[in-house]
Amino acid sequence: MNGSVNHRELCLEVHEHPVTAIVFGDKTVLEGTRLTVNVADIRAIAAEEDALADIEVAVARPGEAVRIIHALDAVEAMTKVAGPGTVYPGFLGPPLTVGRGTTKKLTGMLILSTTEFPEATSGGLGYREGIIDMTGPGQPYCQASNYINLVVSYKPGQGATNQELDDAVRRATLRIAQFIGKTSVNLAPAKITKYELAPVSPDLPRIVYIDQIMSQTLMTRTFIYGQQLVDSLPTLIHPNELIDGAIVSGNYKNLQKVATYLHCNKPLMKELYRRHGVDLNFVGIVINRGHRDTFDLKEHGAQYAAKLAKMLGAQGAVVAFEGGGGATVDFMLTVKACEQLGIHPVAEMFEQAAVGSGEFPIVYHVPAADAIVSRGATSEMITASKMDRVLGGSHRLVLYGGATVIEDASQSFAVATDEYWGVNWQLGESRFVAREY
Amino acid sequence: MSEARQSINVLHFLNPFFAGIGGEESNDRGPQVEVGSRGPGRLLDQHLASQGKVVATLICGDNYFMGHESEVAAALAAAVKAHGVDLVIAGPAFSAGRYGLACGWICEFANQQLSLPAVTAMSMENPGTEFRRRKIYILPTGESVKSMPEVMPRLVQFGVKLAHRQALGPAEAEGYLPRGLRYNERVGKTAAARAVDMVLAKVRGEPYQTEIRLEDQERVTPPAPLGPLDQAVIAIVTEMGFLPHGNPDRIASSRNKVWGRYSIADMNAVSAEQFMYIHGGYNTQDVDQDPNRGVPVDALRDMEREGRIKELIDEVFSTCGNGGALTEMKRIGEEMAREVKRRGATAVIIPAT
Repeated sequence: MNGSVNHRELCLEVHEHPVTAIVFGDKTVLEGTRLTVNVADIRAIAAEEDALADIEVAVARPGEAVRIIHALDAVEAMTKVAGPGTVYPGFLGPPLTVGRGTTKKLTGMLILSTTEFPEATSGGLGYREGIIDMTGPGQPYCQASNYINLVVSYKPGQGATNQELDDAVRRATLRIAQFIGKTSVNLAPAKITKYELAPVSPDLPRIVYIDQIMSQTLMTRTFIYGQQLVDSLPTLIHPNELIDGAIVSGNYKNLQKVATYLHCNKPLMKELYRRHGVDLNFVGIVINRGHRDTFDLKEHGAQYAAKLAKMLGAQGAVVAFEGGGGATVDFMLTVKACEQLGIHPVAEMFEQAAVGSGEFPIVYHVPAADAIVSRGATSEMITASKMDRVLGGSHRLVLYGGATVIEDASQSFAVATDEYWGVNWQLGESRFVAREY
Repeated sequence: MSEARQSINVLHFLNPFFAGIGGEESNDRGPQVEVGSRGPGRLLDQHLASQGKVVATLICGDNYFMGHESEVAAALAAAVKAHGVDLVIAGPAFSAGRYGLACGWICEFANQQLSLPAVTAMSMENPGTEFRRRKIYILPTGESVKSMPEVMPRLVQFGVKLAHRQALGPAEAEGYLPRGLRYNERVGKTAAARAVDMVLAKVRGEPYQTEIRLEDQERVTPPAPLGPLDQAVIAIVTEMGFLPHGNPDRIASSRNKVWGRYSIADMNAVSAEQFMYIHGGYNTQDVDQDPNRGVPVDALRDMEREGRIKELIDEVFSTCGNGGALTEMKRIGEEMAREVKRRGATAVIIPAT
């Protein structure tokens, strides 16, 4: 191995168009940093889907007394203007390999979808409530809460099943994101960032990112190039593919989820990119599906992921995962497999045990996990603020998977931080850590 | 307390050996209270200086202590009252095992029964450390009394903070042994940035500090094999979230804390009309369609009829394990085990996910 795999072909320019205000008007247009949205345009996109009846569109800004509930996903408004494929490939076009050419993104804002599923389901097939507080003590625990959100709330069409509704909402939301992204096509970007894994000094340590993704069944799906990630072997993916939206979330175990915008901006990926050629050599990303059904299958995925990392010549690995208890086993076995191959692993994870509970914070671990970064502990009891507005649909909140019902979501209530949307990953982005007392 | 700090009154606990009033034979001595400091207590006074003083010393033999805790408690409570004590300092015990256990007991009693702050110090290997590190403040020491001069200023500094009810930071920053309680704080760097820093340190062979210290977890020893199966009385226990429609016990699909027992008397199988699963961690579709594929009531009833097992207990003991806290699950397991045993089961089948 000469130490410099040639990734030259995957060179992506991202044109950033910051958005600081979203207003409604007669024409959907981006002027400076102000986005005007014509709701009729959004409604027309949603109307293409049989499973959707109507929509409501609203804006939620960081710091506003707004609570978004029944959240599904949040996606970046973006479009490709050069290079093969489309943004969100497999959904908005054929699954051509993306990550090359030029992609224009509206930054500082997201398209956020919400809905309420018509079919009563339970267990793993149930929707797990996701709350986003745009202000107050809950705000740091929520993904998307520091963006201006264009909130699109979808109502199911007559007779639509949960699956039909879920698929329709996803397609419509991604199309809306591309439609809004296109408002930037003829505009000069505020910033251009070039992403490529260019050859760097052979002296720099070679670091791989192993990312374990949750994808089980309806309500916990994740898609790669439009296809649900199933029980396949772990595989390689270039960070630029993520930036272009190759991974899309359909995971509504909302405390655990990684929203699509976060898949496009995976914190470890961004950090490794930022330091590529500076103090490390970012050799790529290995993705693995976690939550496999048996111990042998977990070992299978873990061993294979570590082997791919070794084939990339990795000396060190940062390993992270989406999911809960069962996924911790896949994750820890991956840490162990890296160590066995002589790759130094660092595990980044949330803590499963509730804050202050005295419980050991990890459900399963291996001796190789001697370098763990804690995003902090979950399940901290806080008092959610009273809000002026509630977006997302009905104001009825079902918490803790059914154990508690709150009829008026605008009220202040005591809540475990588990109920916040994407908390397990947001803890790390909000710079939490748990310390032992 | 924002006003000028008041001088604090310290009660010091010693055994006769450390108090300098006896050798091995003094281990049987009962509690006695001396006014002022004794032995290493003089070092406490020295480091306390104007911050406070040792007002009383409780001395008790290690042998006497174990088995006479109530007498020691009475002596301690009386001395605290008589001398207006603000803080209890026990030890340091270093590696002295029985003394370490006594120091730990004193601190826990002071905290819980007298609502008084208390601190002790001992070595990591002292059995008193493992026994009470989760309940009280223990400062780590070396194995031998030689580290006394180094320990005493730490004990005083920490004790003064406790006595003034100052908020304490994390164990590592404050120098006490971690009690297993974890709280969040916010730091300057994201988790991702810290992870990349850590992996680079690891690859370069530089020091790094894990943010979660691993601990050995309890291992469950498999029970001995069952005797003849046709003599077995079997109960079904599960964490699959099996329950009757309507969820009478309000078992939660995640982070659950309760369990239920559901009758299967006179049933050859469990029907989908009556039962369902609410577990949030797996796809319940198949077991909802045929609940016997989770809890195998149909198969066990067949075996019961054929005489291959003696009896199937006529209720299912059920909870939901998804995301459950270990201590809650342990409690639920123990409660279920008691009931299962009371019902006369000789074996359990535990379908789990």
